[in-house]
Amino acid sequence: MLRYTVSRLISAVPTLALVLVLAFSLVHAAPGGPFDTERALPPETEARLNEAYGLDQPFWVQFGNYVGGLLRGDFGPSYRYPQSTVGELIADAFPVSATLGLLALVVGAGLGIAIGIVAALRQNSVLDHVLMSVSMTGISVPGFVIAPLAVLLFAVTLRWLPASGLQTPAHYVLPVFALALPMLAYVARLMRASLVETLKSQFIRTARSQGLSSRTLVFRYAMKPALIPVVSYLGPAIAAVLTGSVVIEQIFNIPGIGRLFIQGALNRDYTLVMGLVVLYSSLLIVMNLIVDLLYGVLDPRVRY
Amino acid sequence: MSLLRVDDLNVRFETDGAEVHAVRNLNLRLEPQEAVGIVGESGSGKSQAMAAIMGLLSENGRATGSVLLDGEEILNLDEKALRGVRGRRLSIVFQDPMTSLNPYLTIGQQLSRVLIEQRSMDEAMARNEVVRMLDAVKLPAARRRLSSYPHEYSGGMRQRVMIAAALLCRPDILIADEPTTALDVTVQASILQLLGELRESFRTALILISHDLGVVAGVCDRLVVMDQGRVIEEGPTETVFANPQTGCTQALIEAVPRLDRPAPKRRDVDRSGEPLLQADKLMVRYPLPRPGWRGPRRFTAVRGVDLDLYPGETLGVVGESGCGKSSLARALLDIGRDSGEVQYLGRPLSGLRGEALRRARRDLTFVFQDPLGSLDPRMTIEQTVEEPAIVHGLVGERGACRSRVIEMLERVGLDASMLNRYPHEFSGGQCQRIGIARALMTQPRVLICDEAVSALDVTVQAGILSLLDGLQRELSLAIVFIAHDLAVVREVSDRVVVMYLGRVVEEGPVHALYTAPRHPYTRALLQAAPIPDPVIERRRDRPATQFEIPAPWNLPPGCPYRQRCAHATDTCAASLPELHVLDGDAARRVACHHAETLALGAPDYGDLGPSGVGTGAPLTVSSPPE
Amino acid sequence: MASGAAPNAPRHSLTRHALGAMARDKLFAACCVVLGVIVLGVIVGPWLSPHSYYAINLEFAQQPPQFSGQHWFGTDDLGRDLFVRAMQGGRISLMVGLVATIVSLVFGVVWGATAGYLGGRIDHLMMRVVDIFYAIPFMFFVILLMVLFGRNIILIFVAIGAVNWLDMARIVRGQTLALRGREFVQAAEVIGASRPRIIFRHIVPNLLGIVVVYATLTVPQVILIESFLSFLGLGVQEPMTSWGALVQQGTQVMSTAPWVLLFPATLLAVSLVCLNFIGDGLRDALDPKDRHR
Repeated sequence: MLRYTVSRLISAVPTLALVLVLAFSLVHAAPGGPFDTERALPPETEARLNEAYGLDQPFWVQFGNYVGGLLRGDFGPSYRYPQSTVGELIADAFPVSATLGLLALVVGAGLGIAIGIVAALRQNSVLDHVLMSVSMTGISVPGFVIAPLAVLLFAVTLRWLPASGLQTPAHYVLPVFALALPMLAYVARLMRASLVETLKSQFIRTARSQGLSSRTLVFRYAMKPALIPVVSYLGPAIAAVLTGSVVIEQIFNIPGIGRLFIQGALNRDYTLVMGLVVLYSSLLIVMNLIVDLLYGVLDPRVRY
Repeated sequence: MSLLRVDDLNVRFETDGAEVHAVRNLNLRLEPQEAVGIVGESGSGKSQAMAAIMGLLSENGRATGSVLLDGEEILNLDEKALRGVRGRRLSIVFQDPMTSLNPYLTIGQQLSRVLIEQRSMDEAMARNEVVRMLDAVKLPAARRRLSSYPHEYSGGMRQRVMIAAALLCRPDILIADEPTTALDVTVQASILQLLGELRESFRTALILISHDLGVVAGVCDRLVVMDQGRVIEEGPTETVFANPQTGCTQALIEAVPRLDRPAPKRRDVDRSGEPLLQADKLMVRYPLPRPGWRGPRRFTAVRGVDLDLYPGETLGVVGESGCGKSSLARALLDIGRDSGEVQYLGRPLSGLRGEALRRARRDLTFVFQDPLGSLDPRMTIEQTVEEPAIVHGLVGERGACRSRVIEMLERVGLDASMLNRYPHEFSGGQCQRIGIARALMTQPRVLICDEAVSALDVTVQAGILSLLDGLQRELSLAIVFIAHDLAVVREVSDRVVVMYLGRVVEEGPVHALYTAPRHPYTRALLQAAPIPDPVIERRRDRPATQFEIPAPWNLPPGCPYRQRCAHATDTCAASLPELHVLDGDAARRVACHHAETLALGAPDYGDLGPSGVGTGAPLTVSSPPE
Repeated sequence: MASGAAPNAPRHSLTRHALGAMARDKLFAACCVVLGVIVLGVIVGPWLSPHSYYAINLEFAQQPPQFSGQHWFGTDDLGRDLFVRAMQGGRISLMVGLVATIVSLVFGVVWGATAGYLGGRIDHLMMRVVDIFYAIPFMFFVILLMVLFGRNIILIFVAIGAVNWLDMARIVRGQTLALRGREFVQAAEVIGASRPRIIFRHIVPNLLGIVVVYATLTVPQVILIESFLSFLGLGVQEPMTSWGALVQQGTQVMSTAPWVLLFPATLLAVSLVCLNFIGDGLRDALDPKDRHR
């Protein structure tokens, strides 16, 4: 298991390197630089700035410097916010996104699994059809449609909840709901489908023939295999939800990672954008590794 | 009062608006400690009847009638009430031990759970009881195995665990639904023996469901024959076998090829000339599905096989699952061959180019095991049958050789009306005939049949066998007939090769090999094969096999069979026996150190013996409509 | 063999099974009809209306919808006719959905079928590439692309197609591998059929079903990505529009003119729901586990 983990982490290195090269060259190939503003700077100022940030160096030197910094845990300075480093910006924004994301994860995965189980046990009942149609809608309708409509209804019209910011617990309700809904819907459908499939399998029929209770059948016998597809979906989904949603943070005016990324991209804040790409990629790799290790926990036939 | 009394049981399934009446007016009595066999071909409703009794019908199934267990109605009870019946009074063992155990729980967890829920035992008590039961089904080192998972067991071991699970609560009745169909013949023999013993020691009544008359013959007191949902015959086992009352039962009994009767006389084959097909040290290796997952990355399925096939001859290849016979079949066409050489008409296949290669491909054809699966679901029968002709450029376009396609279909007993229909509209036997028609399209000289009749019911199987026999006569085909069923192979072969773990262990003319086997494995196979005759079957003496086949990638040094062999000596552990020509019989080859000295004797077929007074050659049985 | 050949379709009672099937079919049919109407409206709509999608008329800014009057869906804050804009936006959204799906389809099918059929080392290598691509945060890259290299529609097609081919490649490869193991493909090999013949006569026809299903499910995903980009202002640019861009404008004025949000949001949501239900229905119909034989 340890050997597997280590070898997986080693094999993540080329992936991460590819991501870095891709992102770095994209940013550099883009026309325009971080100091192009509406008001053109005097050429000598710009040259000085470029020199100060090492932007006058050749591509590979810049890349080498950047990677070297990364290895020391240094994400570099932000071009747009000269008073703070990228590390500081991320450290400020990440807890915000992560809190929101964790709440959404608990709501989305928890409720989704519960709804999926209920629907599977009441397969083809009216309740099942209703739950599944609602979750299909939840999957189809994008967050940026749900969120404004929810704001329109609960904040503007009914005035039950605040529309933006994160000052009180009540502020969390709408963004968490908007963030959790697609996950909830997807997990519910996935859970229902895989539980229904598992309950059809021969070993469940055998267990029934032995007179075991349906609680045992569902929770002791069928739950583990049924959870496998859900787990493999949740891995990348967790990575996404922890790093915040660009749209939700935009709509609810939340100072999280997603908004930071959009601003960074729009402002051509190279180091900020790079830092966020590195953060997300590493998170994704780690989550995928955790998913694969979980397979081993869930399925005894998997050996590392 | 009967222990179990089934009256007027009907089972119906609703499928897409159509109703399937699977069981019709079934009546059945079972007395305490009695063993009843239910036999019938696929679709006869025998399994569905049992599922209905256990309340395990799939959700679109409905059962009506009455099932009294000790005078109490148990049909269509609700799940809660059924829990008091299932496992405690009525247990079932299913066909496939590979899928019947929960792969996510240890053996100990899933077996003790039954006792915890059904007998309110605590964990420790339950585990002890499970160990006792695993000992009873002769699972070696039972206590240690509690913490292992089902995938760590072989099929035979799993079926023992399943039987243990079914007996945990000491039920009054054990239903075994095709319990040995998925197992090899040697394992089947030991499981059947175990069932017989357990029935005695646990005083359990037994309902044994099987399509195989040989399986029920030895175990059951009484027999119920079912056909298309109805019971067509019922009576003491001996009576039903000796004096079947209906034509259907008679056909069923007679269609089974029997090892204790003389094989049909074969024509003499001229082996003086050059062989048609010749394999030389063939090796086939496969990559294992997940690298680094127990065992090496590749395993060797065929380990250096030499064969030759003469014009007009049928060469039988037998062996248990995993012995490499199917890999060998494909390697004979130069598919998947790793090393070694196949020569066709004296020239290596791998060296053929151009016209010679096309010629060889036309001459060597193949019939597959799965009748439906070997036909492309999206092609019509005409497209399927004409494909070889198109591939070989015999005709330019589709539909250009319709008359020839029709001729081929008629030759295999089908007709032109099916040209534009699709495979799923036909039965297994018909699909297999279509597959043979396709193989015949290019006027081949060699037909390689890989388990070509294994998936078919016995009566259908008999029809296909006689078709092959007729075709061989008319077209002077040479046939390589690969199967796991020894009796079927004997029926059609001139010469037989026995394979074990990728190697040929014995080869010889069919009569000599079946009456005087020289390799202990051959004899064990013959000994294990059941014979559809209760009188004989009960008299036969079968030594229980201790070991099952070792994993092909984990072979012991020396003779690969020695762990299962009663005659093994130090020599066998020291070196691998070569396949060599038997002293005193140039037609036979054996891979055993002691082939010349061992007195294995003829296999035991009860009193009648191999040269007993058999009647009729089963091949002459007319097959009923499929 | 003999046992376990249970007649299929394990559902509840007979009537309920039939009702369920009909409800399913009705839902499927309803989705097809609704989607058909939307597609027709999107194609024909802009020609029926006297207005153009770009004509600004500040005098008529933020007119509420009047179904008998000039502006069926009302007007936006610049006085542009919302009906025509919604239809025009639909054209863009649906077209992006279709074209980018085709891009990902072609790429994914070729990649997946090649890897699956050739197998061995090549398959391993090709799938490693897919794995690596999976670990790349594509949404970030698409956003980056849009920000850095202008917001043009071709780039949207390419970017979205590049994201979505991975799933298709995986599915097609898995299916091809499964087909290769089937006896009828082995039968064709044994007959001596050439590789192209096996691929095109045997494998591709048997792949078609699943490809159609996943293509149907890809279209709504793609539309979602495009509208997401447009919502962020990174997609199509003014005066051209798409449903995502319209929703974004709607959110700006939703407290004073909610219809500016409601019409495009509803159209977008309904189209996506319909497409997903249709894809799901097709998948169920194709699933061999739920059918006889």
